[in-house]
Amino acid sequence: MTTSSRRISTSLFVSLGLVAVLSLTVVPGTPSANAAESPVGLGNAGSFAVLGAETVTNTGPTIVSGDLGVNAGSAVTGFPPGIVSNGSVHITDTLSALAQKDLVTAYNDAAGRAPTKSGLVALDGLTLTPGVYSGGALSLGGTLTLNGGASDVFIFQASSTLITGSGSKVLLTGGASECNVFWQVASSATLETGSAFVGTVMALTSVSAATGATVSGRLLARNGGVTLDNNKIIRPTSCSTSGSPTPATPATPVPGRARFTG
Amino acid sequence: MLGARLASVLVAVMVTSSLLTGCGPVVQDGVTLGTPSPSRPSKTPVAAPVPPIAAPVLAIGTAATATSPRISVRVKPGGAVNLSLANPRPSGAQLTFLVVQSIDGWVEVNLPDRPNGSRGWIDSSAVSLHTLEYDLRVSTQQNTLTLYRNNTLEKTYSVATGTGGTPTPRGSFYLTELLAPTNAGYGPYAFGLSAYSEVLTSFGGGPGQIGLHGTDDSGSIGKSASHGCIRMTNADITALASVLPLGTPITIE
Repeated sequence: MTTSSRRISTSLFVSLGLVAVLSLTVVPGTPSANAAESPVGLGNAGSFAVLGAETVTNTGPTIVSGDLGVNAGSAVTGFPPGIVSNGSVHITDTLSALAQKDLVTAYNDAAGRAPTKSGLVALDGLTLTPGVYSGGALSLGGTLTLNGGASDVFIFQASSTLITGSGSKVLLTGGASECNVFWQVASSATLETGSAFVGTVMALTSVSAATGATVSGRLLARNGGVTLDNNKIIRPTSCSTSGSPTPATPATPVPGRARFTG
Repeated sequence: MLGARLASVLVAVMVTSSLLTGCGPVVQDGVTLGTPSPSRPSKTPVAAPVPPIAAPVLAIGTAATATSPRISVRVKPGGAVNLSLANPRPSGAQLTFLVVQSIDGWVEVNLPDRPNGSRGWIDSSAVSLHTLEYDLRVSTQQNTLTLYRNNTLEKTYSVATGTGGTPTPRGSFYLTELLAPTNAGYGPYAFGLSAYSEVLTSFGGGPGQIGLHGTDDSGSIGKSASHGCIRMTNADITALASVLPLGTPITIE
């Protein structure tokens, strides 16, 4: 090999290597490349930090900030010593029924979004931009970074389970908001010991948070229960389905019989 | 691209700041001082056009539009649910509230039903929020309705208000729906208000709700002649119907 061809080969190799490294850590899903996703509307489920179908079972001094409820079941155990603040406990009442109904709508909405990227498995070490990320059984053993603005939306679709390992972390950068991070899980979600998790989990079956796991978001289970153990589950506040307020538009008239006093 | 996103973030910050710091209702220590009435226009002339990135948004208030089929209303943030409202409303209009204040993920709103002036708390994630720029002021003494845009007087209209026996209720309300009436007597358009007659508990099959609408009785305009509604000429109500969103505040004095 001549010197010039060796230099070309070397520079080409380095360039290819750089591309490979970048492609492993920064997954494109930029707003410029994809139409911006709208948030998943949670409706009445939005006020809940924890919502199960059959049971909510807690061990230890868990703090739940937001509503806590079950629908179709009647078992909420462990409160106290668990504490519910900035919300109330709803056991198969009108609001929990409305919330479960709206959870189904939200789940189906998230599941129906077109993926920005598919085939994800391990989320460790990834820095993701706004978009829809799809995979089978999703796992997180280290740190997942979500980089975007306050109104940018991140949606994860797991066709199987979601499992976060001990000490794992979801990190928000660039102003990204936990209001706009959604996890649609077609089976069950498990947050292992000490996980620092962000976003709203919408699990088809059940959700469990092991000792010391913290959630800036919501744990919502459609058909099973939610199991807690010395956790902090803080539902995000200042979330609106439309993000920042937009200018109101003129009303659309509805044809119909007027019944005002005249 | 980055500049456009930065601009949108800055505008959003300014809008949010104006909502929370007093362009809408005055709130101190979580307590609302007075009703959501906009302040009178200052003597400062309307500003000349400025670049969009720096333009202040003089939000008169915020409308909250329901995003699910039923909205739960509570007596306090996170408190017991005491009311469940259907969306859309019985008229078919999208359920809309006028925001009083927002705290920690909850919005206190004016409610569209009796009693007059009722309020409640709803989860902020159950609604979409929209800034308002118009508001209306009605004088039952002068039988006038004045349209303001960003606190600047746009136009004063002659209207009919209620008689002594069926007065138009006074207070701060908002527009809850817009109909294109299929029955006679209401003109081409009729806004429903969050105000209800304090005399009539029912009228025409309805619950005694006050409307702002056109009329086939143009001779009543400028007089205290209605059963509580605010009547306008058909041309005037058509003009208002083309610009006013649901949630627009209307103050009746």
